[in-house]
Amino acid sequence: MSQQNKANVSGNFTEDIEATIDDLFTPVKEIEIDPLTNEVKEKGMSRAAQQETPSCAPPDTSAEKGAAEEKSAGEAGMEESIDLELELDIDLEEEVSSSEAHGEQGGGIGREVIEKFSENIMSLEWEIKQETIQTALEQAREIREQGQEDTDLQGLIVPMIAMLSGMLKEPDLIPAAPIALKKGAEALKEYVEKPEGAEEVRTAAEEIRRLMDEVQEDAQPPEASEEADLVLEPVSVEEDIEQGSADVQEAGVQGAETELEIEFELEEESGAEVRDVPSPEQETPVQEQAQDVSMEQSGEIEQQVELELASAEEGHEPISSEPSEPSEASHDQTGQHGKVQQPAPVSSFQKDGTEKKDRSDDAQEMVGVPQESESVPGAQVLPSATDGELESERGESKQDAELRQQYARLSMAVEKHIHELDRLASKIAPVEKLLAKTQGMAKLYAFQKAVRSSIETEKDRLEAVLHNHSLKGEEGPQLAGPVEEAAPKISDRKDNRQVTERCPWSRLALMGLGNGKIAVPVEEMAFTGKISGRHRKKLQQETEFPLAWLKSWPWTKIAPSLSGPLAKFSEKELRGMKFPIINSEIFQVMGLEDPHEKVKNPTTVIMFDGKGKGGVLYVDTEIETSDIDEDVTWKPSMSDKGPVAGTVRLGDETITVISMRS
Amino acid sequence: MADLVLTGPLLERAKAEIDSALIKAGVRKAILIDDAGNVVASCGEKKGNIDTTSLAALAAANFGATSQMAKLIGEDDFSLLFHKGKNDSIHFARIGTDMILITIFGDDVSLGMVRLRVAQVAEAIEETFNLKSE
Amino acid sequence: MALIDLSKKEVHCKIVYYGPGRCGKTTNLLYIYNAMNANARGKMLTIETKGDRTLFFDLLPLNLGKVNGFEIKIQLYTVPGQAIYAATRKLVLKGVDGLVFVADSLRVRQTKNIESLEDMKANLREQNIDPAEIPIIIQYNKRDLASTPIPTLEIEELDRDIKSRLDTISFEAAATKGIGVFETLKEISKRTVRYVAEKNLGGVK
Repeated sequence: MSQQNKANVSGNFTEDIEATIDDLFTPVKEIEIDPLTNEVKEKGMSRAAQQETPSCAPPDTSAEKGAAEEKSAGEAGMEESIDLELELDIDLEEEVSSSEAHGEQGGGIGREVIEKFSENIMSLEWEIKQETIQTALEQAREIREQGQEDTDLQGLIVPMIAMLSGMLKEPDLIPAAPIALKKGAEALKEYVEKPEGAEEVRTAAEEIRRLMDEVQEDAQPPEASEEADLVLEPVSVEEDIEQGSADVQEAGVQGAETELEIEFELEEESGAEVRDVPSPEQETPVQEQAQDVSMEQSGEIEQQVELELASAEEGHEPISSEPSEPSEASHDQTGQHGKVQQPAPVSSFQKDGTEKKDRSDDAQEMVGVPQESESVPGAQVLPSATDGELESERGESKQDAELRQQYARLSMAVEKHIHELDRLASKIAPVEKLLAKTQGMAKLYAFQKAVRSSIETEKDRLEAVLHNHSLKGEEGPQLAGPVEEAAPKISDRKDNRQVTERCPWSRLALMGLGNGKIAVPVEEMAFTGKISGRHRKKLQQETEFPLAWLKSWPWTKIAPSLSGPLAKFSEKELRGMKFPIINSEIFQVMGLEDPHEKVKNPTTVIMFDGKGKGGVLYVDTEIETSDIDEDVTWKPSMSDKGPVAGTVRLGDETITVISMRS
Repeated sequence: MADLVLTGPLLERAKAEIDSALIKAGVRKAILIDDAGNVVASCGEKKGNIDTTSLAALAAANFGATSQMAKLIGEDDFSLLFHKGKNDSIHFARIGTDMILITIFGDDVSLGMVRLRVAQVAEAIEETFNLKSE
Repeated sequence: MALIDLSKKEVHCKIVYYGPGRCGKTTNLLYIYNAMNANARGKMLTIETKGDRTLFFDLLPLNLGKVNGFEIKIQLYTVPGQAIYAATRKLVLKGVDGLVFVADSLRVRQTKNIESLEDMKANLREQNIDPAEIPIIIQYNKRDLASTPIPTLEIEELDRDIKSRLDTISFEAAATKGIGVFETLKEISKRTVRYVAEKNLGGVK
């Protein structure tokens, strides 16, 4: 079109339009609109246009129709109880074709089923429906069947099946489930195309397992968490603890101290882990004294172990429906050789004996189920035994495949155990801190500390094992070695972890001893002073100090010269008491050289722990007391025996603290 | 048309319900608005500086517009109004007859899960505000 | 932005009725919709709240039919007037070809009038539209209240507030009664179509 034409068009155009506008844009009827209701009222009708929508609101006006939201099918699942049932039904007797090369698996699993599975998982991402979950679950099972010989695939599809089963019952239990499943499906797809890319498969499997663990942790039985709270509650009542705890402490701590052993045994033939699960009946005396969180947890752990092993035996998923606990009972703090016992350290916090008993009952209940099955000797060996039998039937190649599967499960179990150990250690930490601050709790504190240290050591060792020896079938037999090392025994522990807990005592008496310096808690000092000459010489010769030496004259009473709890004993009792002279022992423990020189004018210090243990040492220096602030560095002794309780750092000196309570 | 009367306790309850169902599931932000675009309650992360006022107004307009679109094609309404972003996505759901729940979530939460949870919390909020139509 | 389809010979223009909340924008459209020949208009679309306040926009499509071989379609929009809908107003203003600024004659709305006007100008500038160039006319609505005890603004006051900021013609109106509604509509329609035609169909500038 030429410019001239355009101009013409424009000019005529606008004129014509304006004329049309004048024509058309005119009212054909007179109406009035109610300003409040917007109702249109006709003033005069020029047409039968009343049939047209008389209302001022056009028929398509609405912004507020209540559209029923599509309720997800997951609602039905919500009402059912949480029950993450195991869904793994690997039939151990099924013929399994051997395959070493990964390349074989790609062709072994139908691409079509993987595609359809992926589609369903994607649909789940958009909408969670029971039908979709069910279909996906069936497809996953099919994939599992088809890829039985592939460990990597099994390692992914099995947790996916568990997750889908869980979703079937409670669709929104794991919020991140659809995403994790989607990643898993994508990894599966890629793996089938490129079997060498097993890394994504493992990563996806990890993620799914982690989510399952989290949800199982959250789904701990209420009584466990309630009891955990109950345990911590009485802790805050310090006076009660002290008063009610004396006897319990003795028995409990003594029992506990000797039995802090955790053991791991492996059977090379089966490659399966064998754990000795404790029988609570054997530990009743200790149990009745105290329960703490770890006890319930050990019960749960045992349950978990049993379920896992039993399920492996029956061909079930290692992920159990019970609250997720480490699959070993190894984190129990006390244990006899080969057995695991319940710890008693927190027994002092139980004021009410009934309470304790109730908990022990609860723990027994919780442990009861697995215990029954374990009453059969070597019951724990069942899976491996079964495996062994089956293997002998099948032959070597099938054994390899089975081993790989077992190790995959073991790997999962170990990871869960590590996680659980971490959790337990963090639960013990606040109790430990409180004990550190509480007077008279030094021994308990030290014990608790030891307990936590052993848990952490165990955790570290398991982690090392897991990372260094990724539990694959071909490496199975080697597990025996490193894991045995991982068995932490308190007696063998060389844990030099620095701790900055508070010194259990607020006032220490400092004195020189030999070439070193020691500190004694002021509250434990029952006597400081010079004894009569004739006994003074004996101080450096004898090994025992009878309290009668404190009498300057035969008729002098002993008690008035004493202070603290020792002074409360009767004269008769005091006359019969003897305490070891601990100078040499201290030298030995501190690694100092015993000067063996005669101390010219020794000051005798009689120490008493408030119950019945005492010790005597003689020093030749001035004794000065020092207030110990909260921020003084305190390092408890690794050993629970002997007079050395730990060291404090005062100024630039590290001073050994001697205590009768260590 | 009943006015929507909000009280402190009611609001707190609604927020608690949204918190437990959505925020704890990983949703970044959840905003409850009335269908005029006024913000009733806002839950989730504080940082991010989302202009919730504008968002609410636009969301209401959006919801209104899509409702009209549904009617134009012969539908009562659409059951899913969802916009997928590169990192974050936004989901709209009607609550009762007067309110809209806007959910903003990242790619770590699936839409299916959000829809599931939103359906649950819708019930709870309707009860809280007595919005259930008799 | 007007749509000019030279192949189909169609011209689509967008006219937006702007103003503070409750000033009568939707009422204008309602009146036009209800009073006009049904042949010249389409269905009115309203996205509003339960309280009959525009939530998003109102839309009334008008059709002039074929003029010089060109099908002329004019779409009338209203914006939501309340302050909280600022973001929504921007959306509705997109691609505008002509504007009617509806001012409220109620004295209590005097400040709102000015705020709304400034808001409109700002939004236009954001879209790189020069308020002085685009067709804009003013409607002083609710003039029927001037004769009532309700306090209203005088025309001079309205001129001072509005015309001083927007140099264009004004119409007095009472939308509920239809006074000035079609006059406003005709004027803005002519101006807008002229503007669009001259811009796109006219000679070389």
